[in-house]
Amino acid sequence: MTKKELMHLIRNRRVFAVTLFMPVLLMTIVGLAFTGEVKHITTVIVDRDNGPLSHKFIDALKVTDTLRIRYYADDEPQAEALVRDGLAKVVIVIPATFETDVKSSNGVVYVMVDGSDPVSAGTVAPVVQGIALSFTPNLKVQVNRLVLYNPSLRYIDFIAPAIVGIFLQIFPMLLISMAIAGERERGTIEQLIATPVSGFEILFGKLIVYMGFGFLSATTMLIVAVYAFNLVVRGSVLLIALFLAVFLTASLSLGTLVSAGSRTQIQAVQTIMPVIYVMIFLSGTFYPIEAMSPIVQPISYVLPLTYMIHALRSIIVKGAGLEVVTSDFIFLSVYTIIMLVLAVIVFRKKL
Amino acid sequence: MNRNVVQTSALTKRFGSLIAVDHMDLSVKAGEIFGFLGPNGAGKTTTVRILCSLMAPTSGNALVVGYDVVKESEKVKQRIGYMPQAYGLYDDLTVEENLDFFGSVYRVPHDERRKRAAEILQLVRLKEFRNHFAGQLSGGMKRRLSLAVSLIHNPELLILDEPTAGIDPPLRRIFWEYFRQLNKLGVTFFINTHYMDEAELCDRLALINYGRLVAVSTPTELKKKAIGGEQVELVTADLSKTGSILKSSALVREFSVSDGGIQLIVDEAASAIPKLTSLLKEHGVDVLRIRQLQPSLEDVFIKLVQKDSEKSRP
Repeated sequence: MTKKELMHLIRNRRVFAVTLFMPVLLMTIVGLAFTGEVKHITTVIVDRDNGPLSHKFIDALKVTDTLRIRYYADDEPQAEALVRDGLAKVVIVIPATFETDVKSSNGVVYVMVDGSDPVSAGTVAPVVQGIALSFTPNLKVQVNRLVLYNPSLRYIDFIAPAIVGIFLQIFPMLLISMAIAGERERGTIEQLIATPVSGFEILFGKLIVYMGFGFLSATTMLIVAVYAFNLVVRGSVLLIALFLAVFLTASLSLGTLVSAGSRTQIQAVQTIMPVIYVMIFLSGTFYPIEAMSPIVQPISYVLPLTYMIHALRSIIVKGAGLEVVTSDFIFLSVYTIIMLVLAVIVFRKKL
Repeated sequence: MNRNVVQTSALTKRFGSLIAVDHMDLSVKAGEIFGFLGPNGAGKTTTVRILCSLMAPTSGNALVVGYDVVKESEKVKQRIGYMPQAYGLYDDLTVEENLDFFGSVYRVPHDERRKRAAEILQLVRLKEFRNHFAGQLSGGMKRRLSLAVSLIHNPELLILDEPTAGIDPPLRRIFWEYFRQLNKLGVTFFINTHYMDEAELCDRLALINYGRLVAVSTPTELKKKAIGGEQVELVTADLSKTGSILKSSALVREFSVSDGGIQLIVDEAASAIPKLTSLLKEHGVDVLRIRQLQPSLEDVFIKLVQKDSEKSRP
C-alpha cells in the first residue's frame, strides 16, 4: 500500500513537484525575507542647525544600516511631502539650536516616522536613540518621536489594506481557475464548446461574475475594518474602486491562465498555491520590502500585489490622491492589460 | 432532400505519432440514420468531434450541413445538435434551467425557447422532473436530458456519441423510439455506437478500424460482404453422404460440418434452399431441417475487422 501511494506521488509529477519544491521554496523565501531586523529605511534629514556638530551627528547616523539617508530637505513640510509620496519613511529634524542645546545638555532631535508602516516606525526610534546616546555620552539627549498619519501606530491601518490586496489576489484567481478547470473536469466544456457561443463570451461571462464577487468581498472587508476596528479611510472611495477593478481583472486573468494548463480543479489549485505564497511573503504585506534581502527585493518589485498594497495603504491611511499613486496605477494597468490579453488568447474554445 | 449532410474528404487527425482518423471519406445523406461502428479507440469520438467543429482536422476537410467545419464553425454549430459521450450538463442547474441556458447560447429567442423546451421535455418524458436539479437525476434521466439539450435549437443534424452507452436495454429501446420520431420529422442522425443490436437499426453503417473506413453499407449488405453470401443451416439423416453431394454442387460456395449439422454459404438463400432440398432428395437423403441463418452483426463486424487487419499487415 505504501509503495502504491509512493508511486502515485511519483507519477503525478505536479503533486511531486509541489511536495518537494514547496517546502524548499517556502523556507527560502521566509529565510530571505525575514532577516530579523529592519534595514535601509529611507530617511530624510532636515538640518536646520547646519553646523559642524550637526554634520558629525549626521555622519553618526550614516553608520547604521537601519537608516539609509537619501534626502536632505530644507524644512519639515518638504520632508513630510517626501514621506507622503512614499519616497521616504523617516524624517529626522535637527533644530537650529542643536549645537547650543547639546552644549547646555538639553539637545533634542526630532524623529518623525511614516505611521502607515508600524514595523519600520517601531524600529527607527530606538536606533536613533541609541546613536544619539553614544554620540554625546556625557550629555542628556532627548529624542522626541513624532508620527505622521498614524499617531497610534495601529497595526490594523498597516494590515487592513494589505489583507484586502491579498484576498483579491488569491480568491478570485482561485475561484475562476477552479470554475474553468471544473468545466473541463465535469465535461460541461465540451457541451458548451459545441454551441456557437464564442470563447470570449464564455470567458467574459465568468470574469464579470467573479469581478462582482471580488468587489463584494473587498467592500465587506473594508466595512469590517472601518466599523469593527476603527480603520479610517482617508482617501477617495472611487479611487479605491478604480484600483480594485484593475487589480481584480489582473487577478482573474492570471486565474484563467492557470486554468488553461489544468485539466482538473485539483491541478488548478496545486498550480496556484506556490504563486500565492510568493506573493504574500514578498509583497511587503507583513514586512517592509526595504528590509528584505537584496536577493528577493527585485521579485517584490515585479509583483502586482506589491503595488496594489502600496497604493491601498497610501489611499486609505494617508489619504493620497491619484497623483501620488500614479506609478502604482501605471504598473498595475500595464500588468493587467498584458494578463488580460494573454488570458483571452489562451482561453480559446478548445478541448 | 437528396444532398449530403456530411461530406468529408481525406479527413485526417493525428495526435503526435498516432493517427486517430486516417484519410476518411464519408458521406451521410439527408434524412438517414447513419451508424458509425467501430471498436474502442478506432477513432469514432475524434471523428465526431471534428464533425462538430470541436477539433480541427490535421488535414483533409469536412462539410457539415453544407459548411466547412474549420472555416464556418459557428454556422455548423448553430445547425447541428451534439450529445457528447460524457454527460456534460450543469448538475447545479435544474432540468429546465439547463435547457434554457443552452437555448440561450444557441440564441433561440426567449418565447420560442420556452415552447421548444416544453415540447422536448414531453418527448423525452422529463416534464415532471423539470424543476429537479440535473445532479439529482438518475443515469438514464441524465442521458434523456442530454438528448433534450442537443435538440433545443431544432437542429437538422444530430450527432450522438454513444448515446446509449451504459443504459439498460428498455431505455435503449425508448431512445430509438425518440430517434425514429425525430427522424420522421426530417432530422438526420449520425450515431456512434458499438452496440450491434443498435447498429442493426441504422439505415446505413460505416465500419471503422484504426481510424480507417473499412466498409459503408446497409446492415444487410455488410453481412453479405463479410460472409461472402448468405448462411444456411442444414440437418440431414446422413451427414457424410450429404457432404459429398454438396461438394459437387455449384450452388454451394463453402460449407463446414459440425456435430449437429452442416453450415453452408450460398449466393442467395431464398432460391438455394428449395434447390438443395430436391437435390438431396434425388440422392435419397432425408432433409430433417434446412433454414437460412441470420448472421449476427457481431460476427460480421469481427470478420470485416479481421479482414481489414490482415490486409493492412505488411
